[in-house]
Amino acid sequence: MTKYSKLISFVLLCVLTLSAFGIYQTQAGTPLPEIELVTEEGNVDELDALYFIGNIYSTQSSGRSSTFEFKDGDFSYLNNRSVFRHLDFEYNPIANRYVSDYRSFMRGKARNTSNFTETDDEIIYTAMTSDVNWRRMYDDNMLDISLLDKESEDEQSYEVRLEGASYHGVVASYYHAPELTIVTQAADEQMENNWYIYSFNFDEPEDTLSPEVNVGQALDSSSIQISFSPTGTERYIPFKSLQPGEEDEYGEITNYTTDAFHVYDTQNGDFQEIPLFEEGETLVLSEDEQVVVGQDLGETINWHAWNVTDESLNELGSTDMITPSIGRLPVYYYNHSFNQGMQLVNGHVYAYEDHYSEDGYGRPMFQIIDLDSVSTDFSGYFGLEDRENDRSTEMMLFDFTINPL
Amino acid sequence: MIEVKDIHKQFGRKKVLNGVSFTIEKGEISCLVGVNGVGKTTILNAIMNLTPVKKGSVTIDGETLVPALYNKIAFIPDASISLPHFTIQESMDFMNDYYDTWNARRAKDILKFFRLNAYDKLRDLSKGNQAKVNLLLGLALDVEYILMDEPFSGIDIFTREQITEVFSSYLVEDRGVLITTHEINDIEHLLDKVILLDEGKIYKEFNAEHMRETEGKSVIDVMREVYTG
Amino acid sequence: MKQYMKSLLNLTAFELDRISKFLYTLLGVTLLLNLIGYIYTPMRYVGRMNEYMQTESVTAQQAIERFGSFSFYDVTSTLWLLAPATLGISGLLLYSLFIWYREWMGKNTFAYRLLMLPVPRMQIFYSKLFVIYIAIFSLIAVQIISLTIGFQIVSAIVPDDWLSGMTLVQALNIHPLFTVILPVSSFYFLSANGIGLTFMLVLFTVILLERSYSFKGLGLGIAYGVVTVLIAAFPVFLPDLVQNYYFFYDSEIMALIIVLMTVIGVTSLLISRHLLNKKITI
Repeated sequence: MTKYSKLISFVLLCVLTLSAFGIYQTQAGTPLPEIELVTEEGNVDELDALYFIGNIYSTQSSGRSSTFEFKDGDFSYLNNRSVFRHLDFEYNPIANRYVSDYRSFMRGKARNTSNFTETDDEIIYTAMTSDVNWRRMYDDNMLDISLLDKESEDEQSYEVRLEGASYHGVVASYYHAPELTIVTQAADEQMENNWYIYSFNFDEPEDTLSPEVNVGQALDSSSIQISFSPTGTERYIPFKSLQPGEEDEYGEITNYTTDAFHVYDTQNGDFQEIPLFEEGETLVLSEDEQVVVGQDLGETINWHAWNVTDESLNELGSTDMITPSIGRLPVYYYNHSFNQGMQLVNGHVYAYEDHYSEDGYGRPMFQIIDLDSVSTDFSGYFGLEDRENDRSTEMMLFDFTINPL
Repeated sequence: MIEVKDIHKQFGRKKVLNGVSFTIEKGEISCLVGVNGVGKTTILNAIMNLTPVKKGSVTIDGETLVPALYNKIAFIPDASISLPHFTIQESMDFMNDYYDTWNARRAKDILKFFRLNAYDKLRDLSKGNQAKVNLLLGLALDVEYILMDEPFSGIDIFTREQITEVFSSYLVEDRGVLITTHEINDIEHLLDKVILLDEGKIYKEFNAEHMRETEGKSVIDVMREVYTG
Repeated sequence: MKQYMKSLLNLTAFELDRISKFLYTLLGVTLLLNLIGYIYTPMRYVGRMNEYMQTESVTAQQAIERFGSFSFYDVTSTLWLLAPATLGISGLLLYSLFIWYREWMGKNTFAYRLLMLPVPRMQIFYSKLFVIYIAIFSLIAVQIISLTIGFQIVSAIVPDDWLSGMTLVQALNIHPLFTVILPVSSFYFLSANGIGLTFMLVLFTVILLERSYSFKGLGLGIAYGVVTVLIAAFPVFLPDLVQNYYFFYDSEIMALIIVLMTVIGVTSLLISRHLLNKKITI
């Protein structure tokens, strides 16, 4: 025994065991499953604008869960990234894209989808100061607005006081240069939750804004939902008023039905009511100057264009939907927005559903409808390449965005 | 030459050393004397960089003490400086591992001289034999200076005689030796220089033999004059 | 350099020799308690299943529905494994204090010898640090070996149909303690070791401050410890200070923590070197 034998033995024990464990882990660790995009109909290129973040997890082992993203037509697992890149990752595709492309602009800004509006040349950020500084939660009528010129990366910032209510939360903002329409949820004088619409003009910026409209009062409803806005460039904002049903055995009202649809014209500041179909459900989507109304009959949807001048419907045609529920995600009374599963972008309806196939596995499924021809440009789903042999892995979608640009 | 220059040291508010200066030459046996608490051990610790001093300096042949110089100067403190579970042999092997100046032949001689068994564990040794091991571990180094703190403390008369013999042997020949002791009588005749400490300063520095010849006083007599007035 | 490495190796081997009995005890206790866990836990499950099947006259499948299938995690989450792992961590933490204080304690004045060695005094520091790390990694290695063997034992005791199919790596991945102390996730493992190393450097500095300035040093040491914790944690409070939770990206906060911990580590090394060379008192 030399005087170093103990030292050498211990060091060898550590090095060999740790190396062997490393090798064992690499070999024993099941490789991440290959994800595939299965096209059922149409052209897969239609999905190039889709960016979604999903997760696969094992139903047998709670330890196995991996996040992946689908971007620019390609899949990648987050596990393969450096820790630092991983740390800055947002589980929100829009914020994630902005953080990656406009890192400096995004510094100090809240990262919810509702905080951003984007055009070809600009990104507009609209958030309450309390969204980034939770200490100001109780002193919060200050709205931060920033406008980024994408090319020059010049940023103009404004701090604006919102009047007429308290504790605002920005729900959505809509930009039509130079006008920014901001929809907030806030507490009125009786501390009741209400919806307000403000307007900010970049050419004539003001320090304080008074509400253009109190949506609840205007629509005479206490339960309102707003259409999820994928672009924030719509002229007409669809609102849905809900009609409360009867109280349940606990004295709570959980059963709401659609009472009416209205679209708010951000340029004229008035509402138009859209009539409900007698048969089936009514869908209202909007983009730029266009309002599209769908008659949802389950298997098919009849599409109509809403004529804002004479307030009438012009039939566009009907589309067979690949499932009776795709795009029509259940919306509950406590949600503040609807249409998350059906988005109108560039004249195309992107319908999404976490579809359960016959074999019992969840599949993020998409159907893309071209409203000009009312035909399906693409339908398909995301699945596992080796589904036959991998029966314990499930896939789910966190969030998706359709890049309109 | 070890040069101690104007060193000051205090523990809390108590000033222990208040500007102590002296030198130790090679080939000279010097003794620091003084009553308990006068700072003798502190001076040895300060020379060996085992306690920081507030002010002043210590040089060994003109150099400030750096670890490499522990091959040039050895300190035999009044405490065990090896591990209790070590045998004497293991203690010697340990020294051999680190000190270039470890002289194994000389260690063997001293072991024999002190009649020690190399395979005895330190914790099994009597206090006298432990003191001998301390001496062995210090004296077997081919160093130029040796400091010893109370080498006779708490040991029997026979061991003391054996240790005294060391001071007149080749083991300290040509080296600069500085010791502190209360048992001055036993070695007084061997001392070249006596450094008497009082109130944190050097009260007197003298040659013991010269003192006896000229003033007819022993070191104890001088100490009595100083400490009892 | 060669001389430097040789003496450092000597000192490390020497310190390892001094810790070895304690380390063997920790390793032994770990293996023994783990072994009990590997045998007792699955046997209790198998016993319970059999008893239920007999008394209730039900099939194994029905019994599994009642008790659930058995996974290796059911073993790793018992005290038979958690207790020795915690004991190892706390034991080595205490040893980190003891590794210094034993040189001064009681009749042992080995500090004289160590401080008078003709080698840079920081080698004493490094050797003690290395030995603590060798002990930590030996415990990790033995824990890994134990788990690998334990997995086989458990698989042999529980019938295949009753096992959940969870692999060893999967069982470790979801374990609250083993994910951090074993190299299961490189991020957690590196973080734990980075924090651990910085902690050790600070702890050694605190000890040396106490050894240099006694009570005053203890006060200084505690203050130093608190300040280092505040500095290392400072980036976490940065968003609060700038009153904007999104001003810094998480990667920047993490990078700042790493930089600050490196600064704390290097500062601790420099302070320790100064104390060992100039201020330490026997």
